[in-house]
Amino acid sequence: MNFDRNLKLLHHPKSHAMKHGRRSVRRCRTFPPRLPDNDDILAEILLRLPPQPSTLPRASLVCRQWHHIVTDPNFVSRFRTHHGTPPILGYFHPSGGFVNAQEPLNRVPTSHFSLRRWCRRGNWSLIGSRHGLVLYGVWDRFAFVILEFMVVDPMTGDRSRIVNPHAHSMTTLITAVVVSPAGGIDRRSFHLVMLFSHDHQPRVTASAYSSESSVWNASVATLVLPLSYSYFIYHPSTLVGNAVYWLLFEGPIIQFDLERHSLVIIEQPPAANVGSDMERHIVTAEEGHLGFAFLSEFSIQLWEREIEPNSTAEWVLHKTIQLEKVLSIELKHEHVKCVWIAGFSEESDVIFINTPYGVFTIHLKSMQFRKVRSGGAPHIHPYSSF
Amino acid sequence: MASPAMVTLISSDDARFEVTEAAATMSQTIRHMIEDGCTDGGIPLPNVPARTLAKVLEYCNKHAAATAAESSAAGGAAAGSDSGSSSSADSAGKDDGVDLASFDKAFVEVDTDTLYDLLLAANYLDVKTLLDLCCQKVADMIRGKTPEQIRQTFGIKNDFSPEEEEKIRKENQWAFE
Repeated sequence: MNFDRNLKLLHHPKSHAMKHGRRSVRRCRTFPPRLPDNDDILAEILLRLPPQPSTLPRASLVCRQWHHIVTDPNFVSRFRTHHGTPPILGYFHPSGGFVNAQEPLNRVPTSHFSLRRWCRRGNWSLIGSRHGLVLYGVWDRFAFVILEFMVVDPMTGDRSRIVNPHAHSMTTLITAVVVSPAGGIDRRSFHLVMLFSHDHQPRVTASAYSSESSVWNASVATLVLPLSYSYFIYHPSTLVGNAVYWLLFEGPIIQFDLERHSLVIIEQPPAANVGSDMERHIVTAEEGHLGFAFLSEFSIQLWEREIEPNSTAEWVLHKTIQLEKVLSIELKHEHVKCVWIAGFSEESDVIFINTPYGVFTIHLKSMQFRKVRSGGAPHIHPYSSF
Repeated sequence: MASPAMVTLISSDDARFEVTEAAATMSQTIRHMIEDGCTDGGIPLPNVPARTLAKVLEYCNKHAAATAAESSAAGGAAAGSDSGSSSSADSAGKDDGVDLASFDKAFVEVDTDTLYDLLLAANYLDVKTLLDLCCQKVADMIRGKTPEQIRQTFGIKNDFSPEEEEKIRKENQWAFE
């Protein structure tokens, strides 16, 4: 190579003399040197800022050009794609109250997540949250049927209201979920799925709504429950692959396939049949398989649904997490009632465990844990976003 | 062993650089020019001055050599006739990885003028890993700074009206406290 010889022959090229092909580039003449005035390059740089909630708001205040870039929905989608898993900002109690899990500076105020921001009137309640979106429903004045749904993006303030087409007295809403395609990269696009029952029969029907068509695909699938089960669902749903899973109260798992629009019953692992509702949670197993967490005394058994080559499936015990060991806490017999599985963040692969010492999050792969706060609710809805 | 194919690159200030095709084609822009047969008499790069091109080629040479060593180490390991030599090839591969990471880190320890020139050149020449490296370096300079500190560091003029600035600040007050 002959760089050195070449370099000796050359004058130091003045940077502002360097013209650029793709876009015209203005360079600095004074100290400090200015960044290349090129939106493409600037976007590439800003894309690589840390994936924390305060990152883009801070960048937006620098100047108009930066504001223009970081508030562009396409940039926000790219930012989410680049960083993958969004941080858990906190979780919702079933009552709708928000608990913050972030340190100051990245702690989005709880008022941001308050229902009162959106609706001052009406008997609204929280139904669930996923992919940075929160789903609410408003009850009729007898608190009997949900008349309307509302999907809110607390970070941007975007919201949509969707009328429930099955809001009549002979229909009972069992539960509903919101799912944004491609993991919430573009939250303006979402699907809403609700499960309901007619005439209090042990029969579950699913309806699906798409924000793109603004149309309900009513009664897409129906499932008759075995006689011994009621249709109550108290657990938040879990999205695994392209299907949503719910745990029936003291019963098996219901799967709704978002592509095929089918409803199926899946038995839970046999060991969980003796467990109460707070000792069980559907989780994501490795390689995107359906997983099941079951609390047995002070250990969490992680089961995985393995599909055999002949298409039969069975539950296999994959891992046991001893809470005392992993969380470095001491648990005594009298603590049994204070320990339960409070929730699961499928985006972060993190399980929330309530203990007498507070709520802990445990990352199911790395086993890293964090104490979030003291005292928790039976079921929580984790919320993740950039 | 045949000597590697060479190409000549010509900077905006007419300095000529002879490099291996493997190194040159880390740039997608140059790769396309070679594919289009525009190499006679050298490839002109009218947007890249010699000083910057020399630096970019230092990066490309290092990375192209590491890629070549990696693939020959993988080939040796795959042959597997001599376990002693394949394990030494493995460890050489790992060393290259560490070596390359520390090379990259040191490579962008430059003054901001040079860094910005590298950014522009990596963007124009379309050397993806180098663009990644330079963008990440600038992003690391931004992280943790307040908007005012960012403006000072990068010589950016605050062109918001006081009302506009107040409005944006108010929308996300929590992020600035």
